[in-house]
Amino acid sequence: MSIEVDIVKRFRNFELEVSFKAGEERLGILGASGCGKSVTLRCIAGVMQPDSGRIVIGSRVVFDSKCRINLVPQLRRAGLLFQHYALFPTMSVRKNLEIVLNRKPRAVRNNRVEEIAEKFRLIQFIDQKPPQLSGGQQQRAAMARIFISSPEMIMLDEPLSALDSFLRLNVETELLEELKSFEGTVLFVSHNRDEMYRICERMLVLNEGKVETIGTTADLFRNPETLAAARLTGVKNIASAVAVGKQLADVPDWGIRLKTDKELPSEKFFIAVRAHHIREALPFENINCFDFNVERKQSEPFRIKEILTTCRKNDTVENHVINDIESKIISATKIPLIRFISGSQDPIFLREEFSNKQRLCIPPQHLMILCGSSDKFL
Amino acid sequence: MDWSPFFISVKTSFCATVIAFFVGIFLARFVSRLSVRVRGVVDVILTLPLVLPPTVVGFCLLLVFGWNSPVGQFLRRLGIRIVFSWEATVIAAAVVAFPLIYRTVRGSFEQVDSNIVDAARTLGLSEFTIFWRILLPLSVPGCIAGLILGFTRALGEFGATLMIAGNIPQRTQTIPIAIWSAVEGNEMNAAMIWVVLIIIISFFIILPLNLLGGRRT
Repeated sequence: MSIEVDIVKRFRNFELEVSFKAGEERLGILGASGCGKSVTLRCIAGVMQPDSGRIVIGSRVVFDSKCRINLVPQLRRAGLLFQHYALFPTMSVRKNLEIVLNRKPRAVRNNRVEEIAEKFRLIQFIDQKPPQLSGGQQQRAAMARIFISSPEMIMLDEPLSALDSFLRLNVETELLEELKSFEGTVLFVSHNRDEMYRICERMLVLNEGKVETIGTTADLFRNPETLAAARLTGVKNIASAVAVGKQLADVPDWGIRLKTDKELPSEKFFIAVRAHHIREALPFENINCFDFNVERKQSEPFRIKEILTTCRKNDTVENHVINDIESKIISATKIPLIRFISGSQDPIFLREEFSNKQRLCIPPQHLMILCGSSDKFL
Repeated sequence: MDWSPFFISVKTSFCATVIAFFVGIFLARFVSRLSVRVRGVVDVILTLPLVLPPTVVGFCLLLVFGWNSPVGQFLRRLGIRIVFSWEATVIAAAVVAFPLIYRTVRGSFEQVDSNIVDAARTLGLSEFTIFWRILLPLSVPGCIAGLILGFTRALGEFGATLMIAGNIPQRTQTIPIAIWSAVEGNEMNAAMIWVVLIIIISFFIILPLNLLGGRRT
């Protein structure tokens, strides 16, 4: 079972143009709010109509603007889990499930409802109405209702964002188990990268209505390739850069010249490094090593966040520094860098006594070269 | 004292409200699925009886059901006479009650979370099932409000009724017409009884509406 989507939908000040294929897998759609994630799902489900394009679910064309095919949602067999679950509030959980099978004989219906209720552990509250249930219970009921409609694909629209944070992880684990038992395409929409990382095998980054990148989740987190992908996968340090050599880039916002492992593109690009990849420089190390002022130190429970700017020449940390000719400080820092120091076993309470200056290394192998036209994410 | 206006009024209002209610929910559903521009126009047309002077409504009804109109001719051939009959009081009351019911019900349909209806569609429920088992139950408070407003409006209908149904004691004389008739005939005491009665009825019909509203907030 696979799906194929290639659609265009225009809004007053925004155009959605999405095209992708997915097999029997969990594909995540990651994007900032308002980038068109939900609209994409709604178009596939058929509760919204694209202006043009084609949607294929399995072997059935459910929408094709050229052939004037536009199946009603009822016939598409595309399950959609809404953010707030959209259970029918006037009916008990049992009725919510039964109504999906209201054309089936009573015996078949009862058996199927029992079976699904068992699987999704709904028995103990099956005669209660949705408003009386907890968020996690509502979500299970909504998933059960989708399963009972035997869809060919399942779409989830921010299924965990309506839950309290302490509930979320448990519900997420359950949800993943349920999704693993489903044979068909699962589309998972979220703006939460951690959720997406744990749930999806592949990921698609949607930015301002366009598909930016698509790839395996691990690859996208390792090398986001585009500005939006980097931002959405949680890269903290991103700045525009100018190539001054094949593998040498000036980053005016950080005020430094950096060496890279990869060859630099000729067009406009951005350079980025994850906050936890900035490390203390080894003695006598010099490539991409700079003296930084720690402007501020913030403690999070198990890690420290440092806000860094480069030191001016005359207040360098130590004397034995061997200055690399190529990677060097070129100006004052405009956008401070962020560094995470993690690995603390106990909660961190910052004391005042920390060194204000530090020699740090931005390892070339961890530098990401990003393309992207919009500066919106900076 | 002849109590027939009371029974005629209640019977008329009841029938008119039922008719206006079913036509109202049907049209409310129909209109809410039209495109925005068409909806605006249709909405205005359906609301007109609420704002037009009752005499204008009565005049229009006369035009439609009179002997010389196509509808009148058709009904005449079937042996049905609308003008100056009890049925005419129902038609007049239904027409003026209709916009109130229609607007209230439509408002409450529109307040139903569209995600719930969309979810029902993706689950394969027919539009018929969605309407009767999901949309309508969710709109019960609005429907009750519409019914009450419609019923009281039907009960108070005077102008259009007088024009199309006339003032025939025991047949088309409703309470409002009986009041007017009594005052005309200088029977102030009789008029007073009807006035007090209609105030009491209206009070006890409107009361649950307010209690309902209070419970919701």
